Amino acid sequence: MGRVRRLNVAILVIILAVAGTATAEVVQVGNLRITVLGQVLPYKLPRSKPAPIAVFISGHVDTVDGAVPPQLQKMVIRVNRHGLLRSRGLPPCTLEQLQPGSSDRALANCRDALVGSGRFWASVVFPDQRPYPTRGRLLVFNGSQGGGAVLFAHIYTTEPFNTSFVVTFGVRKIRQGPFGTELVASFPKALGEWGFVNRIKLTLRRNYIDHGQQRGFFNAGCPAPAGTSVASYQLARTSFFFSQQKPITVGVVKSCAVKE
Amino acid sequence: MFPSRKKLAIILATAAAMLLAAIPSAPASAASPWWQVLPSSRPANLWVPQSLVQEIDASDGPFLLNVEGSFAGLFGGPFAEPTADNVQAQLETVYGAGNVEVTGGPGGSAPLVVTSIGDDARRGDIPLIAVPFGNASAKVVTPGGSGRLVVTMTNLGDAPVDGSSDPVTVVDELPPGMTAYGVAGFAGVQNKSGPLDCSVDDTDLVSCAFEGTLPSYEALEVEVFANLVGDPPAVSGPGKITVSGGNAPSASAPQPVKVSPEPTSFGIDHFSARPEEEGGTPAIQAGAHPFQLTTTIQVNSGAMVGRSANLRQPAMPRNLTFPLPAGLVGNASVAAPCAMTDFHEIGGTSLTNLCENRSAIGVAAVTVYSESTGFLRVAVPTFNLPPRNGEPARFGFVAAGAPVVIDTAVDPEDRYRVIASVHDTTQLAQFLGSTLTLWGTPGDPRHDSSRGWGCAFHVFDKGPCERPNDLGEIPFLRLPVACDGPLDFQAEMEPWNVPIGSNVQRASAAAQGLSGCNRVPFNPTISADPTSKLAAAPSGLDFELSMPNSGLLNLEAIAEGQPKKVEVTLPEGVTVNPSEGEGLVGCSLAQYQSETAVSPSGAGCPDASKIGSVHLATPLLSEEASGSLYVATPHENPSNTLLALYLVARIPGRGIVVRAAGKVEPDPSTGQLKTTFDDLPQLPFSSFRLHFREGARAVLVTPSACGTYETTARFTPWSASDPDHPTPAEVVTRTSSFTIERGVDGGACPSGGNPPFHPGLQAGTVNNAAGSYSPFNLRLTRNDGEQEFTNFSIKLPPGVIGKLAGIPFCPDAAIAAAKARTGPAGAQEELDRPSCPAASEVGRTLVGSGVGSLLTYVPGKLYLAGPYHGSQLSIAAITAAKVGPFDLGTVVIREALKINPETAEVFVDPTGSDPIPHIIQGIPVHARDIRVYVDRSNFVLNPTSCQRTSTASTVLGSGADFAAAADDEPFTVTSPFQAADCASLGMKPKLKLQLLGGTRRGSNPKLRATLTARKGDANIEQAQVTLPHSEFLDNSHIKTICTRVQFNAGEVPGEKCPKASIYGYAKATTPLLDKPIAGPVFLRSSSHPLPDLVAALHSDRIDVNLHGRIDSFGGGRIRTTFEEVPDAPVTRFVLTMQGGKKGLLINSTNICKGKQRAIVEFGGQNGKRSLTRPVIKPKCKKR
Repeated sequence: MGRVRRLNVAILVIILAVAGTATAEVVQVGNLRITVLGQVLPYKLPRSKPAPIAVFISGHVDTVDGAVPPQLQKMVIRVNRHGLLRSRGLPPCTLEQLQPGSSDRALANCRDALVGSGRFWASVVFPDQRPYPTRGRLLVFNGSQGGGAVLFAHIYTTEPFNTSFVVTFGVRKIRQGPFGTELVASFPKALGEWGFVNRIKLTLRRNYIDHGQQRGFFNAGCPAPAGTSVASYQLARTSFFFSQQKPITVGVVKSCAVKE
Repeated sequence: MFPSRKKLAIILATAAAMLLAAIPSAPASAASPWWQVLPSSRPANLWVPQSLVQEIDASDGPFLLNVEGSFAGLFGGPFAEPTADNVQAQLETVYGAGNVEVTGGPGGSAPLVVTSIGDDARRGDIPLIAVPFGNASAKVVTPGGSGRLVVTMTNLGDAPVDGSSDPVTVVDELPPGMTAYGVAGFAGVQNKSGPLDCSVDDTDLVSCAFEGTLPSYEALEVEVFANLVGDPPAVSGPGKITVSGGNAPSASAPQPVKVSPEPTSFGIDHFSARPEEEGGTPAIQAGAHPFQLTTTIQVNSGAMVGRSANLRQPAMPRNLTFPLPAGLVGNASVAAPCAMTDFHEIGGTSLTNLCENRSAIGVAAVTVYSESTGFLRVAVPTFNLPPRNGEPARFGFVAAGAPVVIDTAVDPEDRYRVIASVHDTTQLAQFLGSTLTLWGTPGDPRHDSSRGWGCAFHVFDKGPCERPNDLGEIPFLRLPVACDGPLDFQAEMEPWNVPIGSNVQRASAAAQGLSGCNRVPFNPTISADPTSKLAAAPSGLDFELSMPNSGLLNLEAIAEGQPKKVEVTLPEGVTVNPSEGEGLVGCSLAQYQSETAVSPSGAGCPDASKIGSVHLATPLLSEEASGSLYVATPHENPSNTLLALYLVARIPGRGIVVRAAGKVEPDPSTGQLKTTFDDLPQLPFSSFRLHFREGARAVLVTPSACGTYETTARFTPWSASDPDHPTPAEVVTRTSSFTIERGVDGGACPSGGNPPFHPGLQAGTVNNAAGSYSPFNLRLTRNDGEQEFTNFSIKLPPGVIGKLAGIPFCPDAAIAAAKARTGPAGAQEELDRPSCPAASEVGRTLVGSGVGSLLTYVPGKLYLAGPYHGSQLSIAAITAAKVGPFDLGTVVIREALKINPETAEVFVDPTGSDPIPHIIQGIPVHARDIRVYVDRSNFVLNPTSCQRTSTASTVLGSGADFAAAADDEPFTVTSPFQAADCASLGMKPKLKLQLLGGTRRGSNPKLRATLTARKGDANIEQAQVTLPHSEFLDNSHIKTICTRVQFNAGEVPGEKCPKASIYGYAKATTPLLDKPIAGPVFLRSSSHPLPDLVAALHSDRIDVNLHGRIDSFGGGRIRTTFEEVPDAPVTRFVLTMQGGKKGLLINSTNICKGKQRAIVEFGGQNGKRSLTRPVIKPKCKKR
């Protein structure tokens, strides 16, 4: 389970896509453009043993012509085997503890399971209605659902009125290949028919003490080959499934330096 | 004593000049005699020969028998005993044995009866008859034989028959089946021109010879004693009479006989008439002046016995009437009338009167019989007499000392035929027949030889036959100007012995039809001028039709023709003035027909039906006929049209009334007027002046623009080959122009293009107290000369609404029935039996139509009606369009009423409404003042807002062209409105909020909001409800949104929305409707950031949409604001939002823990506000 959790780096989708770099990855397919900007700290990581990290991410989905982008219906993130997600020692949170409720209420119920926070921006687009923007607070909790590990992204907004929803990332282990963990989220279930996520800005970091030792929920090492102090490798590959469009896949390359 | 050569030369030169001067007017042909041959019989009905029965009364002594002037014996006294045998024996010596039988007697004690027996005796007139000796007498008891064939041959020529140089021969070939046994002949009056020698040449042939001189209009008379043969007697055909010689053309005529055992009845044995040219040929040129017109009538003759026996007529004629052919007219003014005193001054022995030759207009040859004089045929002059009051002309003659006056009349019922009549014929003598000849031109010198007593009367010498010096040659007779068949002469006769009218005998004679109609001149002219030269003004009309008549007064010319039909088309733009009808009544056909020459004003057509005057001048009379124009009762007139005219002109002193019915046809789309008068009289007239009344109630409206306008008249002359179907070339068209010089009310002429259009609007409730019921009045006006109304919208002030509760719709079928009332009495039917039920009536209308200062106002009614052209409601304005006598049917204008579902504002939708008819049955309405009174009790409700607002109307003007929509011009007008005293209204509604269903966190509860308003409060303008913090919006339950397009797509708002977009249900109860108005609550797209919560309330009468704007307040609390609630009273309103899987709300906490308060704020229409924080009470489980 702990190993699985180490691999459950769901929310690192974008993190890992940009870890170690401050430049934005832009993928454009047709009118749709996905921009991902992120950074992983620290830059230097142990070669052999993953260390706790903090990931700052900013993702933006838009269109070239300014139209409302298609609705993101599903996202699948595959994470390199060198990225680890460790939840041992963290209490899991349940969906019922989070939803419905405000951020405060979510924190009140699941503060110990909090692994990240940030903000989100989305558009709600009803037919024959000008899209109205909404934004709110985004909290990521280590969770458990149906006996399995999940990450709950709790979103709460008061604009234009009180509402909350949770995006659940299911975590699945992959036994073969360069990617060891797969995170899958289905958005409409959480956002309803009319929500369109535009932008996310998020910091994922959770260090905690487990059995007297400092632990991190998000961990990574620098897999530099012997004799080299820096490394660059594909940490993750993310596929975005939009309505009425073929999936868009973004490969994420990470570089790091070996902390001696 | 002889004149000198010089004087003689002067006299000759003068005579020559006079002669030359006379030549141009003298006829081309020379004077000559010609015959009229007239056969008859006495009695008119011939049958088997009868034995002659005579009775000898010798009661007082001896008597002498005289047979055919010869002595046949003496009886009685010292002579032979007067027994039957003795007398028979003596008579047999004359007639032969077996031919006579004598019974009775003996003389002195009883009459002797002498009967001729055998064939000889049945010859019919044994010339027996005792010559009285002493006091003896004899009489014929029964005439014998079949009768006498009588032939009268009259010299109708203008010269005497001269038998001296050219002996006249008469040959009578008897009808087969008759045998002659004797004959007698007479020449001229009292045989003064005789002798006429006649003989029975054979049993079927009689001939006569005449070698004397027979003056004009005198006759040869032949009496043939004849028997019918056979058993039963019969003739196989007519006989034949031929007269020749005497310098006259030979003439012959058939000699029919009537064979019948029936006694001869009172009747006309012969009637003939014909206009003639000199020489005796028929006058057949239409419109010409004939040489003369001769009319002959002969009554049925009874039986007679011998020349000295009495004639036994069935009855004595009393009245004789002669309708002349239509169009045959006489100009009596051409001859100086003989004063009636002179006419009646009849000499006892001379048998003449004092009338002068200048008054002579013809000759009458009359046959009379009396026991004292026997048969007398005498030619006498006929004179022009002064007409008595009430007749156009009068003629007369004196026959055998008896004055005969021929009165005349013009029959308006029968093509204005001239009717000549003789009333109360003398009973002093039996009238047997007459031949009356009227001269075509009395002053024509060709009639000089028969002019007056001095020339025409030959019984006594009446002095010199002289032509008066100053006699003119103006024609008297004019033949008809139509060539439509034989000339129809008629005769009627009735006797003395029965009441008038109980035995009228009639006969007709068809003279040869006229021809040469293409030579009849026809050149009418017209002028037509409106009395007003202002545009769009009420106006009368002066119309004059002029006809030349030079030919009528010229002996040698053909008189001008007369119009049979006149179609006058006024220029487009000249239309009927609707104001005309006010106060007008129609003249019924019976009233029109009762108009006589002497009927006083109003006795026929009522004065209130008079719309103008008429003057008619004729060259035949010095007086003008004058009268009036009347409006005919619509649809009960000869043309069976809505618009029709009656023209009545009269000359009472002449007994003349001219009546004409005109048909007026307005163009159904332009109102252009065409008036048709058909079957006008053939009477010659010189001018026909019609004046249609002017003033505010004038009959016409002038065109709306300045310019020159042309009236067109199409004339069909009587002289057309077929006047009912003339060829285009035969129709004569004349035009007359007039100019409209100034604009409306004398202002400047309207410029080109569309007329101006500045309608006015006044609207509002009578009592504007806020929230109270009050009648609502609306008035839409425009000025003369402006564009016509074609349509209009009305938007009532917000909050001015109607209480529909308790008012049934007028059914569509009833409205359709009203629309169908377009017949002649359609409006009256609607007035008598309104199509819509009274319960549907919500008001009334009053529409003022016309031009000028006086309008005609027609009331109507307003009914509430159902859906129409997409509107759920409509108003049916039903107007019984009856103005004066004009029933234009029922006019239905249905206005689509739309209730704005967002604001409940009442809107008359012009796109779904019927246009205002600008022309009804060809009569432009010229609606200028439309008044609407919505005055049903407790129907119109004032708003509870006292904001200044207005009634707005967009009125569509017709542009320059009624019919074209392209140039229609909209004009928006408003009328301010403001309710009063809003502050006195309260504002304290109550709202109860309930969350039903799950109370725990994460549950989706049902929300129910119940609003209760107090009666008398101001209506709610705004409502805002803020839910407690506990209620989040459940995004995942927002499944479907109804777009605005979908929402508005159906007939009912929201009808096309997806069902999944329904999230609740609302119901409102209002006193305005019978039933609550209810409907689903949708999430519907909007212009707000979030979809609106829209309650689409629907009823069978109105729809109302309540729009709730959703946003948040106080840190995300869900807030719904109804910002524009219609200003209408609602007593209860319940909004229920679904819960569970369709619940939009989700509890973010257990709502049973702690109090959940909402914030509720109401704003009243009157500005007052109400703020409460009600606790939402969920249904929590009891602990």
